[in-house]
Amino acid sequence: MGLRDLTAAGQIAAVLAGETSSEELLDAHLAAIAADDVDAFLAVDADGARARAREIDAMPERPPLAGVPIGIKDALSVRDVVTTAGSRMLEGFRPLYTATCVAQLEAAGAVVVGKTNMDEFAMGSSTENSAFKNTLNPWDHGRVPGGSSGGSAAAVAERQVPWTLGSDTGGSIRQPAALCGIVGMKPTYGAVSRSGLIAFASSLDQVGPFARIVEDAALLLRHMVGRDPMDSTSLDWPGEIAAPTATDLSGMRVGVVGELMGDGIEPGVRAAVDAALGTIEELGGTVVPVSLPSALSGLATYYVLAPAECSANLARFDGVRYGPVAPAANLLDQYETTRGDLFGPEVKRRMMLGTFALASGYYDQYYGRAQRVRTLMVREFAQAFEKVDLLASPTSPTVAFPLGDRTADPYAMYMADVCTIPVSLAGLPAISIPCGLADGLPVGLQLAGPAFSENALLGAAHALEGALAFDTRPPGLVT
Amino acid sequence: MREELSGILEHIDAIRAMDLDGVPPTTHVITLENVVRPDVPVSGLTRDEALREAAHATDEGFGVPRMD
Amino acid sequence: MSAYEPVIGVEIHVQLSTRTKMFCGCELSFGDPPNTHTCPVCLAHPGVLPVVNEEAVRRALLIGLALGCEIAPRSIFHRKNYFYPDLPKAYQISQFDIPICGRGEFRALREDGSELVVGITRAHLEEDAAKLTHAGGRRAGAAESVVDFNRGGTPLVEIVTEPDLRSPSDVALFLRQLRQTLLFLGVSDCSMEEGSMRADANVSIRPVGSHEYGTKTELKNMNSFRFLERGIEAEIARQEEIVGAGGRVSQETVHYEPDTGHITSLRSKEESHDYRYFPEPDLVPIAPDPAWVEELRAGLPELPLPLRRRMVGEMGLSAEDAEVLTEGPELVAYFMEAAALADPKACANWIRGELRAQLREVGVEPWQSKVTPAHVAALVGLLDAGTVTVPAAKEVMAEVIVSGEDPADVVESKGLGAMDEGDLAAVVAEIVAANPDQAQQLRDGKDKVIGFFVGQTMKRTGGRADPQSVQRLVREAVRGG
Repeated sequence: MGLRDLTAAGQIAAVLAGETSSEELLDAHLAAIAADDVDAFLAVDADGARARAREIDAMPERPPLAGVPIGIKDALSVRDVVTTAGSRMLEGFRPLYTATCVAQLEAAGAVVVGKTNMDEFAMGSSTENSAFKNTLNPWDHGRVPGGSSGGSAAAVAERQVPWTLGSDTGGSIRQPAALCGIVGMKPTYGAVSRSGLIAFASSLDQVGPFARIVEDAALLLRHMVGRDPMDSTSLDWPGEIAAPTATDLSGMRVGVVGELMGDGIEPGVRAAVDAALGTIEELGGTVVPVSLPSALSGLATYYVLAPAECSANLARFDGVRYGPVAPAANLLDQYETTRGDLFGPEVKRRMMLGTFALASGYYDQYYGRAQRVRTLMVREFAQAFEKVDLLASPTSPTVAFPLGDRTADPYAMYMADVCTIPVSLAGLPAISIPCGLADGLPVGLQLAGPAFSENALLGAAHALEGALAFDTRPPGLVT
Repeated sequence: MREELSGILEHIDAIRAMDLDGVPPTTHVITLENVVRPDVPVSGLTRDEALREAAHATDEGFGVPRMD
Repeated sequence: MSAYEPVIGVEIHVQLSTRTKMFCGCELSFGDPPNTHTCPVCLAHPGVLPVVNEEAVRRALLIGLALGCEIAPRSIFHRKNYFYPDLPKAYQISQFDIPICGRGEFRALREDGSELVVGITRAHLEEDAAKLTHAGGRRAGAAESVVDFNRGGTPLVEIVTEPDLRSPSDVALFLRQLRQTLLFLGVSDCSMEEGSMRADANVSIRPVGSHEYGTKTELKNMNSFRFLERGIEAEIARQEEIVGAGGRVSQETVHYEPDTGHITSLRSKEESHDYRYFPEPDLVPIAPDPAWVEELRAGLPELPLPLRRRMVGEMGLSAEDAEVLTEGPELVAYFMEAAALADPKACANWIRGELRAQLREVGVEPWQSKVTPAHVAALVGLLDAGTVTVPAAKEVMAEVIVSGEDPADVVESKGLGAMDEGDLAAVVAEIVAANPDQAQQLRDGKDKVIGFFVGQTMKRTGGRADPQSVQRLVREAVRGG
């Protein structure tokens, strides 16, 4: 078993036991990245990483993350390291500061190896909207890894790094985790600082971890939660994110959301999820049906709110203060040409939708109503959590689909997030763990909990993961 | 583009049909209030840093073409 | 008498003189080289987030309380979206339908003592735009304008009045007194010239007696109250001419050129602008603790208008005295300290008059000088007791300005005490005797000659005589001789 087959926790233990060094770990992973055939990374900072690894190796006492390498979604700013958000609008852009969550992990001893590929400005469910290239699913190179954090998911599945950071607005961590057969988590809204995360939809965006196992995801989250003075919407975290240790689910009531187990779910996915629900019961949990009627309106609501916020968040990109510019004789031409040339079609679509939803005369019908549906959703989740401890559903209605399959039909692409969106709208934490295969491709089970229930959620996921014993190695992966 | 947008709009229109009587809007899912910072200066960027990423920086600032 | 009455409302933008910007910790200063007070937040870099300046909130509350506004128990921020190079996020964080301060009222004092009541619709917090300077000269490919972000993000309070004003002079009166109030609160430098206070007027006209509103135009970018007043006059005239000729006023922005007196309409890019306001997701509501608000209310300084009424009503000052002395909080404090120790009216006269005049020569304000309020009170006391004459007192003041010495000591050390009447009469007698021709002219009725004798006496006595007494003694001496 090579170094890359160790989990992050395993790699930390190996470093602390003197069995390996941070630099040795780095070398092993850089070699994998160099040999890469899934195109997970947009940029690799080998020199910077090596300098940091050596620095950590020289420390008499290793910091908690012991120099284990990590990949960072290119939506997160890293000072002086090219950060593009998957867009030509930021081609060559080097931020003047580092995102708080990345700084926290670096301070804890993580070594940032590079920036991973993503759908442009986090808009997409397949990473095909990246302005630069596609990322391939490690389980089948003809299929998508999911999105928008496809690069981060693929990098972990390929064991190019043991863990990565992604961002999740409507499912952009959970869905790619499901499609790539790994763990991905979106924490409670406000748990992790958004300072430095290039904003897509401010009231929905959250940073979260990808890893092969729940324990590793919990470890990353542990070092990122808490109030950041640079983010007014970040929360004081009550207590600590614990290392999950549960091995059974006795006493746990798990609700299955009927609206998310309907016709839109592929039979193979449903079967794998049903089997996982059976495992929950074997572990002592009780599975009960639960109804969330507003979940059916989730997609429509999300595709009003998120585009509206993004239309404002992306208005700052005009080539004046950073990024490339299409020079022109007058200001209006410069705005139009720069933005017209450098934004991709999905981004433009969403900005137009968003502008429309906020327009005078339409606000009440669209944005205003969407905010009210959001209230219904929050209430329904609260009611559900009076009856159950956790909610379960498929993470994605389908397994990974072929590249190019949905690029001509935006709404078909949007449907990929139908299971993950309601939780985002309510600001609740959710995790996807691989629960089985359908036609040889990974299926993800989503577990969601009330706000601040991370420890319970991670514990349950950990216990279930142990019982499911899913093999996260894609066929043919050599380590 | 126009077709794609109309298609999306048709789906989104579902929310116009919902009964939302008496349901207030959710502006923030968190219940925080009064998050403020003290009025104390924090060191910022030098001018060179501020201008570093600008495609059209002049000696002193960010250049923009004329507004007609 | 016009058939129409003007209906005017004003929007005032007040830059708060906090140390840092509204949403980031960049230091605010004036006159520094461009782009030397910026950070990723106020440059709107990708991924940055705003954080509210607590002092800006406190000052906005002070303004609201001073204007008698309802303080919103919970207010939120909104995004106001539009594109312009001085707005780096392409939206301004402002407040829309739930501002921090609601309805209030301002009572201004006219010269004749009557009150002008102006309804305040609201006051809210927002951030200021950066500065766009248009470069001169044309070079192919050169940028034509340059943006300086030093002041971008300065905290602003926008105050909106009801359309309660009915004349340009009332507008100027209201603005001057509002400014005074804001200065007293210590929330802003309130300088129209420097741009820390800006006022735009919404102007319309309607037939006298009508209660409907006519179409309003907006007059912007005037950098003094006087120019604004004249601009409003010109705009009223322009509207009256249009309506008088059977036309209709269009809703637009107008520009007044003070040099020419011309008023022109601007094709405003903002008239039909849809700002697509929506609640700011990056900021949480402001819900000031009611106990804290009460503390602020109780701690408000005495404001200019109540002060002026008190000065006139209880302290015997003239309305004009009161207006001048309440120019600023430092001057008020200075005067009040003196007035606690000696006759307020006399103190007012001396401070307004001789003290300020002398200090103007050295470019210093009373509270910055060596003359303390106690010194002023002492001098007033000496005058009252007849220990010094007025001319001597002026000399004493000049000396105190230089040395900071106590007036009584100066009187002694410089021998400026008022002359004893007997000694004075002796001096007068000498001068009369030495100038028989002038004495004869005076006897003959050429009254103006008295000035000669007074002048001579004053010179001889070094100002230690008071002119009235000298005149009396001269006449007596001349009669007697």
